[in-house]
Amino acid sequence: MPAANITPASDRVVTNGEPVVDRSLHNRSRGFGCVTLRSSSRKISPQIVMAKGERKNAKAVTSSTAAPVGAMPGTFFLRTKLLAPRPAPELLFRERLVERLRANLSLPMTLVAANAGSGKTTLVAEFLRQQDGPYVWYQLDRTDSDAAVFLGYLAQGIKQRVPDFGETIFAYLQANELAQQPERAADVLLNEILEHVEQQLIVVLDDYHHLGADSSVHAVVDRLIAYLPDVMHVIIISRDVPPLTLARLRSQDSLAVIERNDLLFTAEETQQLFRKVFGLELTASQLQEYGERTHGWITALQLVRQVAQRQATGGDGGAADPLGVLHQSERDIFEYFAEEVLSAESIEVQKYLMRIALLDRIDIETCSRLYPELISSAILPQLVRRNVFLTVASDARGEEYRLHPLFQSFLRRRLRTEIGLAGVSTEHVGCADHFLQRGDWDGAVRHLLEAEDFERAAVVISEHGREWIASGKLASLSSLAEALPHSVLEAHPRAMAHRAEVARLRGEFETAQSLFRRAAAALRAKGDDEAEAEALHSLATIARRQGDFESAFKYLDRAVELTQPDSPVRTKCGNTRGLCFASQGEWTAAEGEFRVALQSAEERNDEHHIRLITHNLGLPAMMRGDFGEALHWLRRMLRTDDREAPIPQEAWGHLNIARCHLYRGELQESERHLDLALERCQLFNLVTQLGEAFEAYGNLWRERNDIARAAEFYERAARSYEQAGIDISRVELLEEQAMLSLKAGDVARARNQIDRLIDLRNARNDQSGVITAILARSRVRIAQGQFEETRTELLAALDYFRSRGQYYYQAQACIALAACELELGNEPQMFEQLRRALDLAARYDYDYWLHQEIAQRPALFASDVAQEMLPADLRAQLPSLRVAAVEPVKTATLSPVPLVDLTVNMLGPVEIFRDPARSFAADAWTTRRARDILCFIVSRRHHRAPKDTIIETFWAEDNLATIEKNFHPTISHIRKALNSNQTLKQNFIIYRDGDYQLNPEFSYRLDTENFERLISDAETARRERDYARCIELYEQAVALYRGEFMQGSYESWVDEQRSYYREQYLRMLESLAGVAEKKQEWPRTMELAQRILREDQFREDIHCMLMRAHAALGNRVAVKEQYEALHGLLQEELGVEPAPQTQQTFRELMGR
Amino acid sequence: MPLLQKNRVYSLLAIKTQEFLKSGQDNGNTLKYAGSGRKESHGGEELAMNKDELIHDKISVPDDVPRTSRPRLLNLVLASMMAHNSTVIHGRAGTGKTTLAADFARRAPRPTCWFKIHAADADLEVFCRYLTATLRSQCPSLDDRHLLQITESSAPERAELLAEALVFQLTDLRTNPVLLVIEDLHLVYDAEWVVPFFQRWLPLLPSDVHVIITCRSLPPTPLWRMRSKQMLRVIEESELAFNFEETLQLFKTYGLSEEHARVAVRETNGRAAAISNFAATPGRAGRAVADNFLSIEPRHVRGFGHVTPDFQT
Repeated sequence: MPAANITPASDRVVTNGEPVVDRSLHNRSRGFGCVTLRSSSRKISPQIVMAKGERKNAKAVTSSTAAPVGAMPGTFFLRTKLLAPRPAPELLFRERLVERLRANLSLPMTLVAANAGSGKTTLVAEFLRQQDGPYVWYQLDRTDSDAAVFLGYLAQGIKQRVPDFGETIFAYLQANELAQQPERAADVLLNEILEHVEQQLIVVLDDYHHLGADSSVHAVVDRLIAYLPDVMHVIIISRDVPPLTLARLRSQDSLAVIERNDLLFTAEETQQLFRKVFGLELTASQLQEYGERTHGWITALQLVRQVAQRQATGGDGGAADPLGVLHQSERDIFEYFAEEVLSAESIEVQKYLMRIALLDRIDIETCSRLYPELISSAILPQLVRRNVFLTVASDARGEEYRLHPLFQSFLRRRLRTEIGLAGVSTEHVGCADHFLQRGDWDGAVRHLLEAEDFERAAVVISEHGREWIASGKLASLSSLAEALPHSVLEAHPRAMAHRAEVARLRGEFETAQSLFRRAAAALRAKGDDEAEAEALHSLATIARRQGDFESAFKYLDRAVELTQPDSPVRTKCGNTRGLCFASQGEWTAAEGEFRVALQSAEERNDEHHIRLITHNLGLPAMMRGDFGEALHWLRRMLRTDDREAPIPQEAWGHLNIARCHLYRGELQESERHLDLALERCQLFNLVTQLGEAFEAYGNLWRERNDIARAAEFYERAARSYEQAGIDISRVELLEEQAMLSLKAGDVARARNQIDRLIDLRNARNDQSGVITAILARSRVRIAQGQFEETRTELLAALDYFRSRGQYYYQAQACIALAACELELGNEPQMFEQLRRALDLAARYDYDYWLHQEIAQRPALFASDVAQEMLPADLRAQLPSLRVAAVEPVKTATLSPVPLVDLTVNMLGPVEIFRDPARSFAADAWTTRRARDILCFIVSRRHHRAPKDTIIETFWAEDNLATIEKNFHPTISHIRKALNSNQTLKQNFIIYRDGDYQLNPEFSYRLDTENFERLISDAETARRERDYARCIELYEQAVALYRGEFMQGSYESWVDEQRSYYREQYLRMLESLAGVAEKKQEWPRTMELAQRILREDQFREDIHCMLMRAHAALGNRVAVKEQYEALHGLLQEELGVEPAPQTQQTFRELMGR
Repeated sequence: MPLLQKNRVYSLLAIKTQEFLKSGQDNGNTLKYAGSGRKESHGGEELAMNKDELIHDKISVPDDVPRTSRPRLLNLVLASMMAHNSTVIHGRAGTGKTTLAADFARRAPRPTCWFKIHAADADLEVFCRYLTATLRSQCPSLDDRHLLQITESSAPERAELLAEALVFQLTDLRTNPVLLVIEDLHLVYDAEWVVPFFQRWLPLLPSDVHVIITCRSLPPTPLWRMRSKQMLRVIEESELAFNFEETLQLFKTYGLSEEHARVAVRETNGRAAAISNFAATPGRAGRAVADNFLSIEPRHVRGFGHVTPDFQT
């Protein structure tokens, strides 16, 4: 098999340099014709499992601030980063701004952007306290610039509010999939939000500017904002405008911005501040003075006030004119006053403040350890109370203090002036020691770098790099390692190797290669065999990505030489070697290597590698066509314990297992695994995989002879491939569709499809793809009676399969050849091929396939000689198999049917379904209001309804609190109901610009819409005098009307539409009845008339029509009865006589 | 092989059969011997090749013990061992070949070497590595380096040469009788060396080395002809099928009745995996019996009306 060309692509894998399996192998969009085997009737295209991250084994830190249950294991997790700051003691409630924030909640995002000290955090914190709803406060710092870290914290924050939340995203993050496509991780998070978050949730990202311009987090946030569900609102607090694609949001009115100018105090607010908070009444001139000087800058106002107060109480008249300072830059202003604030504290406290300013995060435990001379637990709260530019964020379990950013930089400068650079270095070393003890490697290295103790910094990176990478903080390791002087890094090759690993994980292969080579050389010089082996293994994985297998093998050989037999590097080398062989199509060799690798992993009880390698071991067996063996291995990669979180790689495992079961005819098992595969694909947003799963569903339904469903799934597959940008010639879809066409008896269509595939593959020089498609085409050509040409093609294909040990294809080619030989009258050759096919069927257990072939090609097995070749039990079954073959397939129409994702029928009792064969859960619509809201949205113009209208319609009488409590859960209920008992989870209700609407990505069948369309087409036909067509369309429309609109619903919004549809219905019935009467089709006339009367019993004209019909049929008694019934009805209900016209008609008909 | 010797073997057969069946009762001891003892020697340094390159599972007797032994088949194999150089157990997937061979190996009156074939063994060198590795467990002085050298040669007759060299060493360097089981030989039928090697090797085997081969389809033709020369006994799929008595014995271990067994034999054609699955799937036997009630005419139902269908097993 050729085609095993590998595109260099990176999987973000693993901590220690070992890409277990190549993601690019199955990523056809990147140009790799996946390891596929194709068959004429079914296809084999095993998917190589994605590499998963190494178990993250960094120990959770035992500090009160770290490592909650349920966080990503191994991540150094600071709980206090998710605490909102507490209110400052002196605060003015700023109603105008809080109102603005509240009004913005209906938009996805609010940006609060202004420079330091503008009161951003204070404002948002105050707003949240005014709100009743839950919120997540995420205090960002520079360590959050990795998407994995960011998403981990964000998910953790949401989990604190929504307990069920996080399983999927944490599993995804652990799988380390996201380095290359952080947006996909964002999608996983969004899906989980849709699934689990039911109450409106506000997420605050504070100090967003700390992330820097290059962070991968921006892409994640962009994605989140673009698709943010209605239950969520994001507030970003930043000193500058973040590098997000805000322009688009602005243009869509999805973004609200609060800027510096908005935050400045108005004259009125200044007056309020002084009056209420400081207890001072300002005169008009004073107010003007303050306004001019401070421009409403809150910090300045507070400073001025504080200093003034101190001067007043301390009687220190020596200070310069504070108002004069206000003419300078804001920073100068701040420092000027800070000087004053600081000098008011005791010398000890001053020293203390200057030292804690060195810390990025200030918690009591750290401060107590580092500065035992003062009792931090007493002094810090006291400073907060005195408003010394310190705020606190705390909950019952811990607290964290935050210095005002300007104050912090001021303190740092002061410290340097007072104790000199050497003194500051000593302080930093003390901090580093503390963080080392806590296992906070990047914290320690930051301080060591500040102290310029590069040697120790390098040692920390060397020793702890692996855990560090495992925690996902790639950016910090990379930037800190780069900050080391060149010579120091050279002297610590392990540190260099960790830096290289980060580059490799990020897909920067050239950088990684160069660093790994240097590291390997340096490690060799040091005699550090294990680390050198690991570096060499990483180099091998890069070489493999680049298709340089020769180099890869060399690196691997050397790596194995360097390691002890029980080294984990050996396992990885074995697996990588196997992958190299697999990439070159040498499956047998690959299998041998995987076996050895598996043995090594088993000896070390390395469950993680055991799972990956056993999956890989299933693939060569699949390629050979030994599905029993393949299943034996593939099953072992699945979790044995359901309590463990699912992992993305399982999608591949389940899909391949489903395929093996399908080839063996174990259709139920196949479906079960397909369901699981689909679930994983959706859970982890594996877009490239989705098409494959649909295609496999199509094959399953084809095997079950359900042509319509198979066609529908192929259609879905085509759509998914297109969305994922997958080249259709690299997948088997066209071939499978051709086989479906053949099964449905549409040979010409089948031929077109398969020829198209062969052309596409020829254009790509995909030899193996062409040959397997030729094998498929042979079935079509045999059906077309082209035996001679088919035989020639098949003989070549057979040689090809034989040389590659692909037994399933061989068996198929043999049987197709036997069919040709039979037709061509070459009996000996026919038996030879048949014997070979039967031998292979026995050897590889193709019982199911053989049954199908016997059923489909009875002529092959007609002779005694052929029957003698069959096993006894099959021989006995021959008659019944032949009967089975004659049975027609369920639906033999292949006309293109538009895909329908959701059907809503409202004319009559409401019917809602997605897959008619898979109804929603019995309790899906227990909340009647949810179902009605769905119908409401569906029945509005463009299928969209403003949120306000929905609230007015369904909660008109309720108070705001009730609405807030019920609204989002009800919407969420609709979404869940529409996904209940469905394998494919889709979000049908989306929120855009204040409206709820049917997701335009999907297709719908709505009876109301069809009803209207039919009427409009009928009117057109009528105008064009095509009356036959008009009648036909009327009849179709009338058939859709199963009863009144939303039957059984008594909401007032229903009335208008109900009477509209009813009128239309009656009008059409009347026309139809009129036509029938004109044509003298009396029974039809009577039937239509009765239907009208069922809707409106007082229609005298219709009663007359009925009487005329009865009369025409010579039934005078019935005419009389009809008239009397009408008479009685009118008397009883309205107390009137029939209209004179009716009486006249009656008399005429009765001949009086 | 001298005819006299063969006759002597036959005369002992009856006694051997008795002893053999008795030994089977004590699975513990034989298992210990078959499993751990041999494994140790593989792990030891005496192996010439790097132990990491060998997959131990391939050369260990499978350790799953069948629920019930099948004396009828065990006796067939035993008789074949006494009378022939080799036994071929042939049947499609799930017909009980491996279970039979493993059960026999555990009870066999001589030490067993096991070799599970995989696709990768189509390479003669790989095949030879494993074959010698498993044989060395009973014949430690086997010179595998020499044998491997033969496989590396490009001589067209290397397979025959290897067979002869192996026979030579097995005759000269070994004292105890040995049973060698080669499982799933069909996986390498397409290798060019298979026919020449086995065609040469099997007839030359010393009388106290017996080879059992399990395979899903019949070996390639020339090898097959040995059967007519009384060198090979073939146990066919039809012989492997569970008969009623055997099914009954198995079903009793599941607490299932005679009626269940009868239905199972009829529905599965006695195929081992299907029979076991039938018995082990909760409720299935009961449902099958109930279905059979429906398909049987009422007068027949009356005949075994006392049987209560067992829906929950």
